[in-house]
Amino acid sequence: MTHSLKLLRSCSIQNGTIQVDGTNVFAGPPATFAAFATAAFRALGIEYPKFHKMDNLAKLGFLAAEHLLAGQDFRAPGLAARTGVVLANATSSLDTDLRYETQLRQRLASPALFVYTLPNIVVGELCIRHGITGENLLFMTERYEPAAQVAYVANLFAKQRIDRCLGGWIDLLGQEYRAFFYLVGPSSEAALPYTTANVETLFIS
Amino acid sequence: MQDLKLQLKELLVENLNLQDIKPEEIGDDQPIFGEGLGLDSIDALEIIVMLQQHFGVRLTKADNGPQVLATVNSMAEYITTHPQPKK
Amino acid sequence: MAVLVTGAGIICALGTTPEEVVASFRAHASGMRPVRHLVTRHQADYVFGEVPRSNQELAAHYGLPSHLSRTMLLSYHAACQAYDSIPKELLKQSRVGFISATSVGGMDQTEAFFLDYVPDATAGKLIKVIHHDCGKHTDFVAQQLGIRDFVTTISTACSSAANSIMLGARMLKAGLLDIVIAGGADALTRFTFNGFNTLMIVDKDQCRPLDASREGLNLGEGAAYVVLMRDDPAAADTALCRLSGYANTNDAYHQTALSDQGEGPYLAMRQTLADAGVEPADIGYINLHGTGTQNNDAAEGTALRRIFGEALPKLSSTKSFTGHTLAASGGIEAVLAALTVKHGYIFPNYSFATPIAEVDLNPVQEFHLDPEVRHVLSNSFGFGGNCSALLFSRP
Repeated sequence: MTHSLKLLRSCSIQNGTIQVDGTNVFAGPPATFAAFATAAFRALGIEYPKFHKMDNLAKLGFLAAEHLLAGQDFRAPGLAARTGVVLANATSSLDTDLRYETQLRQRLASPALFVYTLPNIVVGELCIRHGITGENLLFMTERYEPAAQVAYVANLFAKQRIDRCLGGWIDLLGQEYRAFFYLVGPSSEAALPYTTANVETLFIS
Repeated sequence: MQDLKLQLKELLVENLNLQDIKPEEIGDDQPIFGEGLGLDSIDALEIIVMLQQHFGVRLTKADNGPQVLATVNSMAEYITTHPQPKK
Repeated sequence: MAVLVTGAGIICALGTTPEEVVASFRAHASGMRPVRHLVTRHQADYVFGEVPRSNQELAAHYGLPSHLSRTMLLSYHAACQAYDSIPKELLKQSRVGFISATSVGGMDQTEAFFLDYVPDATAGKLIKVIHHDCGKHTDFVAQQLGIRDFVTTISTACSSAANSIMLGARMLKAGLLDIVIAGGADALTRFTFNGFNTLMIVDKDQCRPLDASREGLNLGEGAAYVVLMRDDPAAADTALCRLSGYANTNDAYHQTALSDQGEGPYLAMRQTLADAGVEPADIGYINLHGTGTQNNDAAEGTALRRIFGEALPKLSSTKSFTGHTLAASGGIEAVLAALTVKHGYIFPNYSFATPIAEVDLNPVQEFHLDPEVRHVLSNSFGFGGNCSALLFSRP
């Protein structure tokens, strides 16, 4: 590896806004997450009807990844097979679990909803959308711990398992939601080095 | 029969989150899986639950699931030939 | 640098120790039966791979409070067994990690709470839900065992425990830890059962993985952990085996079904073999993911043919005995694979009549010993397209 790892791009979604590399790219009206997500999706102007079937966590991840990976640079052929996804989450699929449990009480269990009662389905949706077949993992932690994630991802690069990685944090419960995704890879361009401190800075900004 | 078919189309749009499609746009004989409305195996399961919930019909393994669910026509046909059992 | 498996702990429908579990296979006694501890309306109609212990019994054995979630109790039981295999002197001088995995967490208690809570928001005991989170069982067990250096939880559905083991191995190789206990735990819950039922992939009767007439999986529960350490001359003699390769990929096709070509499984197995520098012909036995669903067995079979062609090694689905234990399955099957390498145990498929036409897999049907087996592959594929493979070899 001749180029050191750099943070190539970041995307953050919270409080009805979407930021890419610190710049606002979308602001929804003050509304429920569901309304925000639909508006944000329409603003993307893409054809992907499956979006509407996803649960809120998957929609959040989908939107963040769509902004993060937009552009030819991030969709080069062969790259998808060497792209990894390493995310962390706190509340698992609790938002959907609650909806599903409510349905069970009414004997109206929806198979489509049950599919989303696992937190890593959002990872699956991203992989399906972007054709990613590399290593993918979801950690459960009470708070976002960049240090552990950075060490893990750096190790994947060191072992040459991947050439790019989508990392970050994604959590949603009711109307509280936060997605923080970054794309990391080797680069000789001037960009933020991939360090715990830099990831933390991006996360809290 | 026409009311039933329209009802089916409205239910499909609502239950399967087909946000960009209006019920009237679904053809009676239009294949709804694969290329049709882009539905997959999970959607098939949703439809089975939907038919049970709204019409009391329960598809068993003996019924030819793929055939019954293929179009609005085939679903309407199945519902009218399998009346809801008395509760 | 090699990673050794030096110890193990296991609890599932077949028994509460490795010896009991192996004995069940020897006796060809499947763990599938009507439940006695899970409360469900379907008690008379379905079989499950239920651990033959109540929560009270599990808790009492260790002097623990019985309101703990069943996942916690199962996890603790298996983790203790694994932990007890580590020499105390070694523990004192080592950095120790505990990596667990689960899909239901404390759901068994939460769903009971919900029943009381929904009609009356003042009813229901809150103490039932404090262990709901996936990480709570991990934290509890780590605390009980005094493990502080690294504790985390992975949740990637049915491949979770395999991924825990992979993470453990990496941390050892990176020199961040000296000993890792890694695996997973999941208890039976109505939530899971109802959900899998709506997906119509559950067989009411004893499941028949790899059979052309298979009708789905049986749900199971359990917990299992392996103890991992870096290669060490002192440990090599007593070690069960070496973890010689691993890989994780995504099938990128559907949330719950595998692609027709079994791409994710194929890539995971191929990368694992490459990782270990082992050829397909060197594999002596494969512990398949083999859930017994139409989709999995066909897709996994296709992936196997792509790798092994005509020359398939011995193979079987131990889920035909244990049921599908979800997030624990990668751990349970890792323990079984380790025992296969160490003792030559070849675990059979519970039953088999007709091969699946497109892939023509013919599993082992009787438990027997094969002293020639040097490499064992274990597959674990989870919803969300998460596909993992682990390779266990002689030290």
